[in-house]
Amino acid sequence: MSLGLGPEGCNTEHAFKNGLSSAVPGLRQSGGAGASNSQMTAPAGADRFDSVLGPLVRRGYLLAVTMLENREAAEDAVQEASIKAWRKLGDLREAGALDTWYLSIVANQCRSTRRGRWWSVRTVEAPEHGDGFDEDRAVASMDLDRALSRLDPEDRTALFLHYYLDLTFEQVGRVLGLSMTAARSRIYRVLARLRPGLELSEEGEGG
Amino acid sequence: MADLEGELRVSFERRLRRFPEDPDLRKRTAAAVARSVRQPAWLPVAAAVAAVLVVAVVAFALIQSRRHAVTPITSPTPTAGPSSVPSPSPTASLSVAPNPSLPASVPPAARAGFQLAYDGARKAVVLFGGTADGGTTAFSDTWTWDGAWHEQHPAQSPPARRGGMMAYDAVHRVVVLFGGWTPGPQGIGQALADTWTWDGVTWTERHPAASPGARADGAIDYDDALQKVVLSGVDPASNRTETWAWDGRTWALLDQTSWSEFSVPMAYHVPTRQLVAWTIPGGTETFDGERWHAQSAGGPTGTLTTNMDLSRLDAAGMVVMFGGAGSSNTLLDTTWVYDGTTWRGTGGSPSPPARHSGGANGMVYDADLKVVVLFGGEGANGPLADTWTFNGAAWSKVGGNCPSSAPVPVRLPLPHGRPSPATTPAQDATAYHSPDGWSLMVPAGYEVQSPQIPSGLPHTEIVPSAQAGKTDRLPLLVVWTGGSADSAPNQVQLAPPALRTDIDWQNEYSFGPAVGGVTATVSRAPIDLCVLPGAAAGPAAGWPFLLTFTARTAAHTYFFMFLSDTPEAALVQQVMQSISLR
Repeated sequence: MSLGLGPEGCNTEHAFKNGLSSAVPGLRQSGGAGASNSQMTAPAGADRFDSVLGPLVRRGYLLAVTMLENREAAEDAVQEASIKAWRKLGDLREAGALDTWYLSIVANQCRSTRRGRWWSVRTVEAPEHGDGFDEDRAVASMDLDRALSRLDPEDRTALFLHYYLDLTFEQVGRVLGLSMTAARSRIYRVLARLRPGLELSEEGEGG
Repeated sequence: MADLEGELRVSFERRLRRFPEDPDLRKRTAAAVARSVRQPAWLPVAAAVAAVLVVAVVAFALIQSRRHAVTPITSPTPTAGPSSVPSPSPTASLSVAPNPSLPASVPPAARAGFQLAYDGARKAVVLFGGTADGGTTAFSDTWTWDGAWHEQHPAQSPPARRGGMMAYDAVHRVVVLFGGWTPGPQGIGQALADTWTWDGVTWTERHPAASPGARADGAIDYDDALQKVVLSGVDPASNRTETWAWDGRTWALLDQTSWSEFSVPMAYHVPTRQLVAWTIPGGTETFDGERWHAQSAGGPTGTLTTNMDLSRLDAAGMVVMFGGAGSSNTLLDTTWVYDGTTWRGTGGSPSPPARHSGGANGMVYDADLKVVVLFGGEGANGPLADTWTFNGAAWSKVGGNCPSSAPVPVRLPLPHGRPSPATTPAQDATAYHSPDGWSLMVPAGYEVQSPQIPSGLPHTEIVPSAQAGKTDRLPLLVVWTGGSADSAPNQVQLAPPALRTDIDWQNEYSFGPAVGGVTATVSRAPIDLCVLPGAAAGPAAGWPFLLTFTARTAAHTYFFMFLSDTPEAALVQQVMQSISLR
């Protein structure tokens, strides 16, 4: 089962929860699906924030820059989202959902930024050339880069969440405000557009 | 499938490499969070609060004695789930001023992010600027509405902008405008810090001794208790929301609060004599003249909602909230009213189409008509140009009852076959060379315009010239220019938007070869005659005919669309035969 951490992630979910409970007095661990809700208090201080949400900032930034395609705007969005998340930490019911919950706040902040500025940047990076340069593969990868650039931002975000940040369909749905089924359908629909004729098997991810 | 997954990961890696992360971002974020921790609110002085309440009760009673009886809203506040916008429940009808029955008038071009205020001295809604393309360009025009729209022509105007803040200063009898975004490539502009006033005739730039820093997408309204225009917006330097007041000469800082939000709307609630703000991700704050205070008032909580319109509605003792953008970019068409304690859903049907404000506020209270007036905003298919009024219980579309907007067109006997070519060229025509590569002769009495319509393809209109005394607003010709592989626009937009979306096009016939050897199609356009009065077709004559064709060169594809009262109109033929492509 995916733990929802990207390829650079180094924290297991277990260690993350332990770190969370030691940083936040009064937090009762949820034991998994169906466990009772746990309340979280929101102490002040940069060090407390860093111990609770700090590990998520990088993933938030990766998501923000994917949605906004602007470094400064993404940094602003992450900071705004972090402030909101810290203020609303008491609303979080499951410590295990912290990553998805935080990313959903980042995503909404990015949408707000996008609406406020109404810009989108579409650039395509030339493929890297090196020994054994495969022109066909380069053309195909450039095609994929271009195709990703042309996607609706929400579609591109869904792909990024699932295939780069390794979120399950259910987690993708939570970040995007969709049901698991809707998130999976969206991803499969986009894949079908990227690669017509691609056979897609029903993955057993329940989140 | 595994190959594609790997390719996607590599492709995302390439995209992310363009935006390397600052190694200090985590530390800076932690510091920003630490700075944002809310300071304990000052407790209001009990005596001052009691005095304000007494004055409010007396004032409210006096106001009530001059109006219709008000029926309390008794329906329960809708409860919201954690991830959905609750559906407003119907409420008991509130007897307030009736929505006025007003004829249609030609409105400003469709737009969002414009600045709107009610000028109490001149008894007119004032509109300035805004954008129709997400901020890449911006308007700098001034319009007023007194039941009908009128474009103004002041000797001086502020620079074009969107997302500015504008309100009426009742003491000094001028409309005050502050800040906003300049236009910029891809919608990224610069925040402004200028102050302007409108006196009903022209704009005057003010140079106050103190001023907020550059900002946009904030909130503003006149605070009756303070007798000042109050502005609330995020200071980009501190990332805190600052509240400033304008005294007619300068700005003064009243409060700094920890919550920082873009596009937080604000309106004054007369009965409680407080400004009311709806914050993101969802909550009510009230301003007592010194500090903001969080309230538990319900409303569309549980979901992130931004860019909604908010207005006072003094005649009903309410603050009204409409629309906005919810999670997953869904546009909202819900109406909420705040009675000083809680938010309740209302509105009923008809209701304005879903929209968001674009960072500014598209709704104001018309104290003369005693209704809230809503204009434009960003709809599902682009910016809007519709005008609505709300009296506290129901919405009414201005010009919505236009009798000439017939649901079914009159069908005239139609001559089939190829229209006869014009035998004489148009008199007093003027050559026009488009930068997009096409040229033609513009007949006398017509002019060339390139309205700002975000349809994706640049387009140009040949329209009747108002300066030539023509009152018909229907274009003679619309030309789109696309790339060599582009398809015809699947959505036709005119300025102002005048095509009815509830009725399909009616294709009549095709003929060819037309000009340049292409095939042309003749069809009928379902024009909303309430928006374009005096159009080529009237209720008894049927709708205008369209003659459309596509012409391609090596570099471009051109889509031509003529509108006329008959497919054989000589003017159409004359212009069509003058077309040349480079």
